[in-house]
Amino acid sequence: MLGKSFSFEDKRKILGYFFLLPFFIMLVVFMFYPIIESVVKSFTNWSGMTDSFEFIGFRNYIRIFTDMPEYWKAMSVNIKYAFIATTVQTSLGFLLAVTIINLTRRWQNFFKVSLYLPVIIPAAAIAVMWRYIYTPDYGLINQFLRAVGLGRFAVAWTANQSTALGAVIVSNTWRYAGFTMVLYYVSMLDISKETLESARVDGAGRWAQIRYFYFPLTRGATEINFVLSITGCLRAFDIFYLLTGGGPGTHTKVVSMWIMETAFQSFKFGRALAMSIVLFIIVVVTMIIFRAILAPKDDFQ
Amino acid sequence: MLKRKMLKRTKITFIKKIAFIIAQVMIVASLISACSGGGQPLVSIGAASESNGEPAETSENLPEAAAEDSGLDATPFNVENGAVVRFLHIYPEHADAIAKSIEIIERDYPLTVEVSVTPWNEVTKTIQTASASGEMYDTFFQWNSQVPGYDQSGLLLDLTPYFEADPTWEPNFLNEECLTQYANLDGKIMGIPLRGTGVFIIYNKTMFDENGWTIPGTEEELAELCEKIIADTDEKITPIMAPGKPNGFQMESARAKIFDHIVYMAGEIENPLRLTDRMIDWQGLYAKSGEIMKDWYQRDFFGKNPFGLEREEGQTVFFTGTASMLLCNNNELIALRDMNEETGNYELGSFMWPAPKDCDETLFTSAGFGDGWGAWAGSKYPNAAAAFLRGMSSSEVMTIWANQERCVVAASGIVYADSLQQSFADQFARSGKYRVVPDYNTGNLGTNRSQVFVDYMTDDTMTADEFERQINELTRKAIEDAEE
Repeated sequence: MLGKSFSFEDKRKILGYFFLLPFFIMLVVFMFYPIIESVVKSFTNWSGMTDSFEFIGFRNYIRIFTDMPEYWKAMSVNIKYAFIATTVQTSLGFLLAVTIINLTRRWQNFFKVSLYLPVIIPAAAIAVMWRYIYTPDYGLINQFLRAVGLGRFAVAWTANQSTALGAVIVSNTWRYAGFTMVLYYVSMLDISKETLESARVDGAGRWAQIRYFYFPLTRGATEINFVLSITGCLRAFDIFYLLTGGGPGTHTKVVSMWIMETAFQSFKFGRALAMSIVLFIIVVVTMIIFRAILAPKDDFQ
Repeated sequence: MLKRKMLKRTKITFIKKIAFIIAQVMIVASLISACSGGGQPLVSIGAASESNGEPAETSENLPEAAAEDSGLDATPFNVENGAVVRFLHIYPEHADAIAKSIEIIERDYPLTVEVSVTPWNEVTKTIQTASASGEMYDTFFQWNSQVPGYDQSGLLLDLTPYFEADPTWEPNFLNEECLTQYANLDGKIMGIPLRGTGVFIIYNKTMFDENGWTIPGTEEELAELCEKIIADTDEKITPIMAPGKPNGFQMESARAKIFDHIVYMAGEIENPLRLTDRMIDWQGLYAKSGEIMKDWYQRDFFGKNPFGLEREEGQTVFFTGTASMLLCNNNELIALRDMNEETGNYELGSFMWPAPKDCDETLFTSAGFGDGWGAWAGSKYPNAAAAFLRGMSSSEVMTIWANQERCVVAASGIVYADSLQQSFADQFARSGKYRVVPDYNTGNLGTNRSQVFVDYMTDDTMTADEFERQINELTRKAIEDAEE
């Protein structure tokens, strides 16, 4: 009876929507609802402990913009980190990819796997390993410096103002350079061998090939790398929390750490949500700007 | 043949559809159950929890029997039938003591304890998550600094009626101060202390004797001793190992020691604003303590990299014989003893941070009974939760923590076999007089202050005045936040 009232096309459509339903529910429950709830509660004084809260208008946002220099100081750490780490990581990834693509297949596979390996290691393990490397008294770097007679340069790498952020950037680059390399590598595979061969015949050296072929033809990969890296760095938490704890003092304290402390130590969940929303907006705006700047142009021939 | 094939394909498609629909139903059902579960609302203090359809017994329903002295150390609180007390602690290293304590409590009260453990630095998050989800622990670890915040959120069970009903409970504690300073809010007792934590200097007596160094009597003598140690050993020995990671840690403790004496000499030690941590204008006193610390730090009294070392690393440095003194807290005692046996076998001694020569009292203000327990206001078994805490503070349980775990416990009548431990306990007994006890939710003020301290110490361009200004500003904001 029911079958007769719907046409085959209708039934297909209904079935299609039915198949979409679980994913739609998941999207609503686990994505849209938390975002909407976060935005709503960012206008409250919710402590995160109980269900009770009061709406306090824009007070949390006003506080962030007028009386929270620490938030903006942390944001400046994020921005500094994002630009340095992204530049270093992208450059290194590009150079690695250029190097690897010109090796034999066997070596390519070896380096691809080796360099990608840190990407799949959990952040906690990476932080523990780098902490041992950076430890002032018996860390790998300082032991090495002392062994080669450069002991005067041995410092507390993660507890020194001038080296702490650099220490995080180095470990982060070690972690993600392989990922960047893979993106470039895949992009470079699309470059026609004939084109490169013609260039070579015409006398283009390695540098000329990089400058006029590899670099412009992997612009899409550069865009993806920049966007992923910058947004990741602006939201960074784990590596800072585990490696420096935001120290020394507040020199490597990033926005996410302030958000966590505001929520879980000060019991100001409403304010922490407002801080997260501001961060979210900054990340989105940055992403849009970078995409506009780096979007591949169609004029390359 | 073709027909059979088509029929088979239709059957397979049908089975696939059915399987898919079942899977969808399961996903939707699990989502619905996940969303509806854990939404149990919290109840305020004294209110009834009706989550299981039965009204909960509250502190107002306290039985008369509780007031009677049963002659046992553990006084019955008319524990609810079939009570299961969910208990959260942060002491995996004291698992044996926890197990024995629970054994005693379950023997004395008709309740069952379910134990959960969380890392110390995760406990606030664990509690917050548990509370927000309505699955809060009935009893849990809390630092005294968290009590105002927890109370403000309606999390804590008021234990006052239980103390009133059981007059034998309060005398169990070392003194009234240790109980009131731990969790007394407007005359209400919102938790009970377990053990004290205070910073001491442990020194390598073997090294001191060999080099003819003597224990300093004043702060100035301590500075002279540090200079002498550096000169005598050609900078090979760090005078005071004060691990400064994370957030300044023991370096900040050293500053606090210096600061307390400065405040005392300025006549501000009993200023009510100080005692409640509401001082927002230190008029140069905070800056002065910072200046002294920076001077000592720059003269390498704490070694080259104190801010790069965590507690365990500092201990290792001390026991490898490259530091003569170690700033540590009394709860590190067991670890230090074990380490001493394994490594150097040095003879150890201890002394308090000395006062400056112009100060007529050596203060021990930054020590206190900060570790302890609280109970959940929304518990289904409030009487059982209170009975559990009563059990945790019984002499029998406290003795285990004192003798087996080497803690300086907040209990009266404990005699410590260990002389070092006894000396700590003696200091604690008279430590409370000038202790700062915030009367508001300080949130992460302590961490923020310590971070500013490290900023000041490691930044050559930051002045002492700027350091104090930032500290004052942090306090002002914390007070504003609490009163918002």
